[in-house]
Amino acid sequence: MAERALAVPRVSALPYLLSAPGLILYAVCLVAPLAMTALLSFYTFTMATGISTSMSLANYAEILADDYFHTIFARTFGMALAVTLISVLIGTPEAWILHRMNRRWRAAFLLVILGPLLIPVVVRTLGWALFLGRNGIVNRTLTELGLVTTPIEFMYTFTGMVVALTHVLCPFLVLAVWANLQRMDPATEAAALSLGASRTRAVLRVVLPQIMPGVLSGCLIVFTLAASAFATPAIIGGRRLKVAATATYDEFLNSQNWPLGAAIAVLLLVSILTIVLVWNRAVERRFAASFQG
Amino acid sequence: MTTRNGWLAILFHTLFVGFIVAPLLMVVWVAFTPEGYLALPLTRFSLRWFIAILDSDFIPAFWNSLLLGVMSATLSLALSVPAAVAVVRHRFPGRDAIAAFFLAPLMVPHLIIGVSMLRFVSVMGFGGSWITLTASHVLIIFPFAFRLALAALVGFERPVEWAAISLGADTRTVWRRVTLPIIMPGLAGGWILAFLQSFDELTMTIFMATPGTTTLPVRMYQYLSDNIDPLIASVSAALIIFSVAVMALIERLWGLDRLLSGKGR
Amino acid sequence: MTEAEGPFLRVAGLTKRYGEVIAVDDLALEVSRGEFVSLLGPSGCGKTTTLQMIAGFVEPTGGHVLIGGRDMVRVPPNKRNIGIVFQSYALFPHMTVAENVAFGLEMRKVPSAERASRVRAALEMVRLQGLEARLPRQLSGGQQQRVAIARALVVQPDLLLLDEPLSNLDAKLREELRVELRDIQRRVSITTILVTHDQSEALLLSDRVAVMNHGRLEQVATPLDCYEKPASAFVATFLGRCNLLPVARNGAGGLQLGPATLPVAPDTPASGALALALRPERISLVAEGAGILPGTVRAALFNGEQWLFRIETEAGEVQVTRANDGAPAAAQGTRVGLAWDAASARVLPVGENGAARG
Ligand SMILES: Nc1ncnc2c1ncn2[C@@H]1O[C@H](COP(=O)(O)OP(=O)(O)OP(=O)(O)O)[C@@H](O)[C@H]1O
Ligand SMILES: [Mg+2]
Repeated sequence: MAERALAVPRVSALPYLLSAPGLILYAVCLVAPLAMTALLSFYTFTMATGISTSMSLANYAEILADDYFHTIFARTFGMALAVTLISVLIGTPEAWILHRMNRRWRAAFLLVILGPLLIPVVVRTLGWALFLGRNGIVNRTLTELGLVTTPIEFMYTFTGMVVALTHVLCPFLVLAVWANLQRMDPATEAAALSLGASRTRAVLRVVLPQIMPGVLSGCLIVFTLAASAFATPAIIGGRRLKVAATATYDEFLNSQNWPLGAAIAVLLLVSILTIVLVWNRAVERRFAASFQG
Repeated sequence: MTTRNGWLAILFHTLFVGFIVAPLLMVVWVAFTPEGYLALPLTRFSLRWFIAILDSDFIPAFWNSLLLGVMSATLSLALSVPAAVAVVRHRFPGRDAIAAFFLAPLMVPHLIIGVSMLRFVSVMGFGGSWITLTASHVLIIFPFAFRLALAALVGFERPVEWAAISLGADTRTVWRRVTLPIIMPGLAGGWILAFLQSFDELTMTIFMATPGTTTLPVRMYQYLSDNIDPLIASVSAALIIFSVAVMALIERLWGLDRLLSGKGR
Repeated sequence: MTEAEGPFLRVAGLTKRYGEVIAVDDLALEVSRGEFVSLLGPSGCGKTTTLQMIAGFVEPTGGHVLIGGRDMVRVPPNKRNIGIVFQSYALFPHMTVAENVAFGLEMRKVPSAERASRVRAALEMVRLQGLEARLPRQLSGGQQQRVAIARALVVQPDLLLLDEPLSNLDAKLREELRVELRDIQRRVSITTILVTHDQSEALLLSDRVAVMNHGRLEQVATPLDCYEKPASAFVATFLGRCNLLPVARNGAGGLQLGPATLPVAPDTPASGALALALRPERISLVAEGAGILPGTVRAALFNGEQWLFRIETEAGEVQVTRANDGAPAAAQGTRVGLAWDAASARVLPVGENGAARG
């Protein structure tokens, strides 16, 4: 019997139809608004006339020339860097300790540490304000004990922002490392020990390289979230210590200088995306085989 | 393999857990003060600030948040499941690009999305409305719902559907009677996660909320900017208790760590 | 379904290509009503693909599938009335045993009273009474398999397709269920195709065995014929053990096997490379100088039931088995002669596929 061609490989429209609603949403709510904002950042603004659509690089020139903005961006990325570093330094060992706990304790503490991710950031930041504010428990205790005469300033300080934001974001790092540790074959550590490695060497030479992808992706998450964080810097830093996010907010909702706010936002986005890209590139080169988000 | 942690590790762990928990406990503790100002109640506790919530404008804000969360979680699931089906079950040009694109909002800070939506809304002349607010929430929680829908579908065994088909079921029946019930737990996890993301969202919403659509986090932020008093502490404490309840539910049904790292079941 | 003359299932020219890979290549097979046919072949030879084309889950690149004389090309898989037992069983995890079995009846809109009695009868047939309310995950592997069989049979399909249904089970359970499967199939006398890569399963269960390799059918015959009269070197070596010794036509009109000359049988292929296929249990060891081919015992291995001799000859190494009768075997290094019945030997063409397995 002659062979009859039944199915010519053809592209079906179905998968496109299925993803269409999502794609339309993205086009309308993500792509178009981002494009408009990018455009907006080239417009000009004066108090008298409001926004005019004449295009210029004036907003970017202003940001790049003004020390005020330099400080803001330096503070933003300094804060993000500090938060990321502290998170790695305390989050990685914590994930490791969790990993070594017995089942019961581990489940309980995992809840305690990851649970706060479900609590609104405003609430978590408020905790720090209450804890370390002028009238907070720490200052009250220190004053009552006579250790300090004037309360230690925590609110409106860089340290305060870093500490509170680390509290908010560190669980993400623990989560990333934890997920990675779960994929690790526990026998590899035992194998290293059986080959005569000391406990420390086994961890450094065998465990750490295996969880590195988790650590690195956790870092990236913490860094990007820290660099664009709004609520915590706004509550702890207030007007005095502005970061890029709070500065954008002020330009938009207080000064009404939308084009300048848009330019700050665009610069923030571009710097974050650049860092993500460079980071991923570098990480991929090192962990070509094993790295997955 | 459980090797015991040394005393140094246990000390570190205790400090770490203290660091995570202390500020939250502080909030709950302060909320029980009988005084009219922020103070740590030591001998006398009172529920007066919890009762005060009932007459405050946090209540309408809470309803707004709840409504917004339910609507956007449901919508994001309704949009992301078909998209996940396309990506998991079909091979077509542009498939990888579409999958990556759907995860993209994870990389764009909420602040930027908020600013952009504000601009978009003003250019289009929509004004602040439930529709635009919901649409923007659907956008930011879409990747979470999408990721969990992917996980649910990837773990699905195709022959189970084929068995139903060979027994005479048509496409609709297969979905209704076999596929959906099986992936439902994974989808429900996606819904919960999406809801919480929406319910807690501040950074983007603050650009879009109008007096009629003020959500709870926005209202709390506005309140906090003016003053810190026991009322905001009691609202926060109530939210913490609410979150702990949700957390317990999630842990029971899915495992918190699995859900948060996008693994579904 | 109309009662048609001729075979109940007819597959002709069936082909499936995945890009460059030809998974199934111009496959033709006819199965009569009530027959039990096994599709046997090594992993990746296209068995599952063939089954899924018959069931309608994979669209053929070319060819026909006819059931009861009706071309299935345009019949969607849910209208083919085929019962399938998947390798993984594919039970509905969220439905109880009874709901699983009732599903197909529900799709056929069978009234609920009749449905209940048929489900009960089906579960009785596979001896699962009392487990109706269990979920699949609360059953053992063997019980799950029986649910899958009941689910496929309860709708009284025209054709039953089994894709390695026993491969997940341990050896003992597999043996039990094999017998059970055959019994059930006989009782309801349903046309059945069993996919397997286990040769003894295929020989034990089937009316006919279809041996498949590289997407093609090498031979379709009764188990005895496949074993005794293999059509190719591949079939000879895939079913049981077989020596393949290179032979060539010589000028004198005979076949040259090392130093020996054999008469040419009438069915010997006219050209191409040839091999003599000889089952190890059909060769007897005789005294040096007697027999057809002389050789030296290189090893004598004992497994309790049998002796396995590895004999070096000028035609290559020959394996010989002999049932253990309590007597000690020929010692290593002994010179022996090899003898066999002309009827036990077959001359086969060797393709590049068959020779590799000798
Ligand atoms: N969807 C597919 N895309 C590409 N190649 C495929 C696809 N499905 C099967 N193949 C190829 O077709 C060939 C036959 O596959 P098939 O699953 O039918 O083998 P099989 O005989 O059932 O093997 P096994 O005994 O291992 O189950 C294999 O080489 C396989 O790699
Ligand atoms: Mg197979």
